[in-house]
Amino acid sequence: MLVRIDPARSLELPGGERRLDRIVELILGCRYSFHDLSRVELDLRRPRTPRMNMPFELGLTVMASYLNPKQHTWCVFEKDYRRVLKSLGDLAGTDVYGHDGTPSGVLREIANALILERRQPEMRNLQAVYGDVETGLPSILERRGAKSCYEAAVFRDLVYTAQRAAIGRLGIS
Amino acid sequence: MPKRQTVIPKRQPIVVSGKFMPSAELAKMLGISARRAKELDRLVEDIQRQDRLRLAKKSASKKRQNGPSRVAVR
Repeated sequence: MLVRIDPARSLELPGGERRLDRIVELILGCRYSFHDLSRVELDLRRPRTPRMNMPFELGLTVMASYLNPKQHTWCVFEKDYRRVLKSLGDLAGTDVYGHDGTPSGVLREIANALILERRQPEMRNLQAVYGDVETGLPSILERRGAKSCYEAAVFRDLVYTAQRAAIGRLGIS
Repeated sequence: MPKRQTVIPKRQPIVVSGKFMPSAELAKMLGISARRAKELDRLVEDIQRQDRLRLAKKSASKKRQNGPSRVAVR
């Protein structure tokens, strides 16, 4: 939010559409997309399988951006960029943002990927906003009776909270 | 098939010129009620106020540890 982009996720689209339709609609409707492949790993439950949603969505995005190169830009994030070279060799030559699997690493790499025309937020601002949202999360979860921050209502609250926190931290009314 | 081209040039950042959406507009877009938006506003204000207090206390404690300033000693 501090770079002033409104985040969207497939879970926030209303209605009973098929999840895949929602994802395609979001990709086509967004100017930028950020694909974090760091969670492509084996889950603990049997049968142990890797989660392939993110690479699949990245594939859809790449094709969409080939078809409309000026309408969509995508970025790939990974814990360690070498993982991508191993798991998704087709992306060789693409710049991958390695965030070390830490919140500050994610903020750092997003700040590397995005530049504001007027005022680039400082790292301490980004961390402060992250801290505000993290501190507010238990209250939001409790209020929504939710267990996960990926539930639609919680995610909407978090997006709103992040913008309010960013405005407060930057002293903008 | 369109001509194949590089989608992301190496380390070329995306330049964003957007502005913050007015909070009421953002709440409407997200489907958050005005009442809930106010609750979230208060939540953020409380968190940031607490943080400012924490920083002020920390700063005061640091000053005490460093002892009185030269001006005060004189």
